[in-house]
Amino acid sequence: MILEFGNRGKGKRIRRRFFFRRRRKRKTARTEAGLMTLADVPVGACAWVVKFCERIPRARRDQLQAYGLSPGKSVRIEQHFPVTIVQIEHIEIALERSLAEMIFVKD
Amino acid sequence: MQCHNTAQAATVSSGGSIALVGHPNVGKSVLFNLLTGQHVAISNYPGTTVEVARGTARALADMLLVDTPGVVTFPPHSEDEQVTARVILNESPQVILQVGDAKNLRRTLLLTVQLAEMGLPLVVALNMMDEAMARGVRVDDRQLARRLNIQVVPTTAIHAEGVDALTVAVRSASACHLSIEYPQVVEAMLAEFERQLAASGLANCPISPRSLGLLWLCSDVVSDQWLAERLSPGIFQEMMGWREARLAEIDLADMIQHTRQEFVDEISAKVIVSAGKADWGFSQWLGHLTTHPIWGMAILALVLFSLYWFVGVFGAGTLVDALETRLFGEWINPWVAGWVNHLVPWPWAADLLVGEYGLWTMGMTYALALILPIVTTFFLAFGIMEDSGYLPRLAALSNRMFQSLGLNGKAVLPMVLGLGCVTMATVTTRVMESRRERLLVTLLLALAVPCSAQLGVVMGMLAGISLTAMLIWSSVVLVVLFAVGWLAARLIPGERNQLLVELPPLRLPMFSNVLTKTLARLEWYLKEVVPLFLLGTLIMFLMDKSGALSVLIEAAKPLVVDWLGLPAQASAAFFMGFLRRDFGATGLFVMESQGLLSPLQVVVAMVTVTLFVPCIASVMMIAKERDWKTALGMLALIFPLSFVVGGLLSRSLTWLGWGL
Repeated sequence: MILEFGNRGKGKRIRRRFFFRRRRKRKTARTEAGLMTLADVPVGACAWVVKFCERIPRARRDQLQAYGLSPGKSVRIEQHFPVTIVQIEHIEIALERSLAEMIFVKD
Repeated sequence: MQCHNTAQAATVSSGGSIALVGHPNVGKSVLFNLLTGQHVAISNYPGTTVEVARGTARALADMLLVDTPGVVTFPPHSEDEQVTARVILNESPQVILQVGDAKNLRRTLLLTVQLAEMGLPLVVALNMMDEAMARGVRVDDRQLARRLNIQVVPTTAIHAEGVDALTVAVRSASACHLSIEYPQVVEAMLAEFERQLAASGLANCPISPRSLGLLWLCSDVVSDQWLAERLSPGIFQEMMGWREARLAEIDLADMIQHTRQEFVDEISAKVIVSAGKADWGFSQWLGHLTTHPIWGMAILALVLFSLYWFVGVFGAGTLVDALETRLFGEWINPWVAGWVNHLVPWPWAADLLVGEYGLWTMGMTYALALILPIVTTFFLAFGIMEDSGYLPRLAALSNRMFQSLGLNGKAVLPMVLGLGCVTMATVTTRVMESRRERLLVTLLLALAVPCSAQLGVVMGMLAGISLTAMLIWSSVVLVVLFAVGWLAARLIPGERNQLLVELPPLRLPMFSNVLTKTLARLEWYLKEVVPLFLLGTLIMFLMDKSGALSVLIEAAKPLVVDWLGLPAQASAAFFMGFLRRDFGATGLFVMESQGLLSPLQVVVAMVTVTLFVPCIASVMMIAKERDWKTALGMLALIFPLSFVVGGLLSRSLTWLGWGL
């Protein structure tokens, strides 16, 4: 059922195979030991922000922190397609997948 | 960590100003309208394209209320945020009124502490209390006020709740000296900065020297500029060198923000009585629906279609038709022309006013009968989208499409509006974050996005030939759009900004707020844009009178006949297209109905006229929003490109034997 948001992760695997076949390979190489990125967290799950990839420009990093997405804070993943949407406290932000791949988190 | 406060009495008197500061989407403009009523003026902040609204607050001894652009990060990064910092630093407001989101207290307080450090009287309106209550968020505002020694007033601006208490608080606001203790290295640098400032006779700066120092240590450009204007060049250079040397070793901005963050976390832990729940019903459900991969796209299509219908069909079609053809064409213009010809004895002067390129018959008619209805419908639609919180969702959904063009989803708004009116769409490129992105979108708009006036004629002509003709036209234009966008994205220096937007909760827009905003923006249009149309008309008039126009038309004939393979008369039609895009297409339409054009020639002419330079009003707007160099550069690129594409298309179609 498309309208049921509780199951929003269901069709994800199929969509991923369609849209992100190339990206998935690249991403595994980028992941650091013991950490995963925001883009890997399943929909509906929560994760703790650990650190940002150094390649994120200063202005973007400050912006992420201003939204409350800073190391030590917990975020909840709402969806991954067409963009990644996360909720931090009562703020919802949408970020591009490539940016989500540069934010390291843990369970 | 320590903090000490000392309150000094300061009474609010008339003649000063109040700066309204806050994050985006916290109800700043609603509160602004509540306090000021109808007396609002929107203008660009000097030297920028950022809108700042100013109005007199009647309940506050007629003080001037300045509505600054919303800040996401502070110290500022974007041009918008820098304007906010400039208002505080250069206009020395008597009081700062921060509008904060009650349900996101941590984020609100991170800005509050920075404003409190400035030492100016500060009042915090904890706004959107209704949303906070609905989500079960409860904040002990009294304790918060006590801890920071500032005035905190819970408000719900859309229901005008708490506004009276807010005016009382602003009237009695007193200077607050919040001082957070930073790590030793920062404190040492601050002491040195303050000493240097005092030695240069700048101890009486508009904000506390300590807070100016903190901004400066975070490499903030606004404070850099402020200091550069006031310190002697030698001392300024020395200070900059000293800061850079320290920055090479430590990340000062990070350290300062981290300390503030800890301070805010500590206070929040004490004053947030209940953090609320993550799920909060219908608004959230609807919000998720609008970003859903399938339903979101369906809603997106519906919204874009409604937008196009309201601005492109109703505004640019029905309203323009009624105003331009009926009111101006049949009533006003013949009447004005009669009077002018009767009263003005010199024929050239009469021509200047009511001739073919007359200031009234072309310039004012254009501005009032053609663009005004489009602009009004557009500003209304834009205001509704802005206030409903849908705008960022639109950007999120269309992001993927714009990635290959070196842009992000925020470009969708100007591009879609371009289909209504390219001139106004050029103004909305302001929503893009960087200069590079604004330049890219402006270029694509000028080159490959046909406005509704032109689109109507083009569609009509192509539909008269065949579906294939329509497909050839649209695919060539789309290929050019993507090819140029792709190339330009790689040639224009700078990085693409990855999409990052906040999705505010969806809300029902307040009609009075949308209306006030629309009226203020229309005033801006009449004051700032109409003169551009008049200037453009004057240029055309002079070119026509001096014979330059006919020389150009003659000069272009070989190009039109030999290269594009069109009849010689088409040359004049192209130049008319510069006046008004639809005139060009209409000129070709007349030629087709006289049997002068084959299907191949129609398709070639339509592609060329679509890509051909935009109308004179949008060139003026490009020059105003960017600069003249950019506008002329774009013309120099677009003019040859449209002819190259047209000529190549003509040759390929001839070779294929299509539509001969």
